[in-house]
Parts: sequence; structure tokens; C-alpha cells
Amino acid sequence: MKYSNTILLFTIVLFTGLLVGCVPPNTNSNQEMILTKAVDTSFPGLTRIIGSDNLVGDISVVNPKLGNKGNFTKAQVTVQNLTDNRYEVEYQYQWEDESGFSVGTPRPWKRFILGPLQAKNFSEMALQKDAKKTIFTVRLVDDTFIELNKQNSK
Amino acid sequence: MHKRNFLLSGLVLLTSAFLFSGCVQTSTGTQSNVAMVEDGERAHLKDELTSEDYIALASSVTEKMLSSSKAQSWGQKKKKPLLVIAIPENTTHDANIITEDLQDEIISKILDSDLARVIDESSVSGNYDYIIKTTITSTTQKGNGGSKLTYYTCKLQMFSLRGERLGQWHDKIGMATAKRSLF
Repeated sequence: MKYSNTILLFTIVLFTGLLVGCVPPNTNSNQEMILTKAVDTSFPGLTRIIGSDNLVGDISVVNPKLGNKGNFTKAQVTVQNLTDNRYEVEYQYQWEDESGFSVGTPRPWKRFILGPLQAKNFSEMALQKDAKKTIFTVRLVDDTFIELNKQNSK
Repeated sequence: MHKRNFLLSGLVLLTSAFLFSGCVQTSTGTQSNVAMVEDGERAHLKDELTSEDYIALASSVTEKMLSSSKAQSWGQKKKKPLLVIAIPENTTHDANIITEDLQDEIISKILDSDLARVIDESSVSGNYDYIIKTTITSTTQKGNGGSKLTYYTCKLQMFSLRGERLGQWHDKIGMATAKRSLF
């Protein structure tokens, strides 16, 4: 009897841990975006996302600017390497209208090298008049072949 | 006592396996060895341009042109200028570049911007304001063991009807191929 109780208790503890650890937090939220340490929405109209776990804390996206060039909105950020590593990364701007609806299709990812402690500016002009806000994402280079190679090497 | 330990160990192993299979981050959704390539991805098998490269080059040079003071002044005018976008000229070693795709990208970016109108170059009407010419060039350096460095440059030029060059913008993509392995 005592033995069965131990097993029951053990199972309950493990499954509770499982549920707490695996369920993503707040999946049904109506928030614009779930805030994690990789997401920065502090600058109105220019959300910054670090799209790779390994880059969080090592690379920083700072100095956000959002302005107008004629009839178009222009955005700029500075990507700063806080480490002595050399990173091969890529970025993309996704544009939205005033209400947050996506405008057009995102342009291709743009790759760049960030040397030790280096900082680089990246700007883009929305080529559509209704684009008013943007999401800037930076991540380690990724493509289908990199992913397929990762899976094949497992 | 042995039986109890055995049962307990089994339970721990089973639960742990379940636990880890649920929590470990994996890439899901791929099928056999074929994968859909995501929009905007810059995957390359060779040091040649892909359609994503066309879009990147076209966006970049068109953005530069549209942000120039010349193009920005069109936004102040009542009547939008009429442009002829010539089929890009390919002077690279790569005969597989589909120049019409590059032209389509430039046209769609200009139309999206709503700064100008576009007339087809086959039109018999000579009633247009500017001609936009695009050229793609490439340079290659080959090293030992198959290593290679290739640069593609896309140049966009704006001419008046008299042939006066009013503006020129360019962008480039560099691709490096590593030395071939002996094995």
C-alpha cells in the first residue's frame, strides 16, 4: 500500500512538472506580441526581435529611428555585437499599416557580418505609402539547406 | 525489493522519455527529404543569382531611386511622370538570369510606391517622361582548389528623353565558394 502511494505521488509530481514546463505561456492572449527577452516593443512603431536564442544577450538592437522620407516611412536600427565573437547574421524588416495589418511581402533576408564589438546601422524605406510601422528581426543565418543538414546530422 | 526497484526505474525512464519528447525543441513540419523554401530565404547551391536575389537587388536599387530628390519631387506634382522600364541587360557569365523577373520586380516596386506611372516599352506612344535602364554585371576571382569569389552588381540609370543621365544607383551581392575538400 505504502509502495503504491509512493509511485502515485511520484507520477503526479512528474506530470505536474511536465505540464508546467511544456505548455507555452499565454498562447491565447490578444496581446500584439508576447513579450520575451528577445522582443523589444519599447519604441513605438518599431518592434525589435532577436530571432535566435544564442544571440540574446550577445547582440543588441539599439538606437531605433522611425521617420519620413517624402511620402514614405523610413526605419533604422543599430545592431551591436557585445562579444568578441564574429557573427554571420541576417535581418529583415516587415512593414505594417497604422492598424497593424501587414503591408506587402517582406523583402528577402539580408545577410551581414558583425565582427567583435562592432556596431552597424541598417535602414530601410517602406516603398508603400500606407506602411507606417515595422518589425525588425535579426537572427543567425538560416535557410532550408542549413536546416536539412541539421536534421540529416541528427 | 529487486522487483520494486525495477518497477520504479521503469516508471522513471518512461516518464522521463515522455517528458523530454514533449519539451525538447525540434523543427517540425518537414516531410521526407524535401522541404518548402520559405519566402525571403537566401539559400544557394551555387554562386549564381536566385529569384530572391533578384527581388533583393530590385528592391534595393528601386528604393535608392525612389528616395532620391528627383523621384521624391514627383510626389509634389499633380501629374505623375510616365516611365519606360527597359528590359535589364545581362552582361554576366550567367545565362540563366531571367531579366524579365528583375524588370517585373522594379515595375511592381515603382507602382506600389504610387510615385510614377509605367508604360510598356513596346508602346508606340512616345509620350513618356523618363527611361529607366538596368544592367547586371559580374566579376569572378578564382583561387586554388575551386575557391571562387563572385560579385553581381545591379545598376539602375535614369535618362531624360534627350538622353541626359539624371541619376544612377547600384547595389551588389557577393558570393564566396570555399575550397573543395579532398575527400
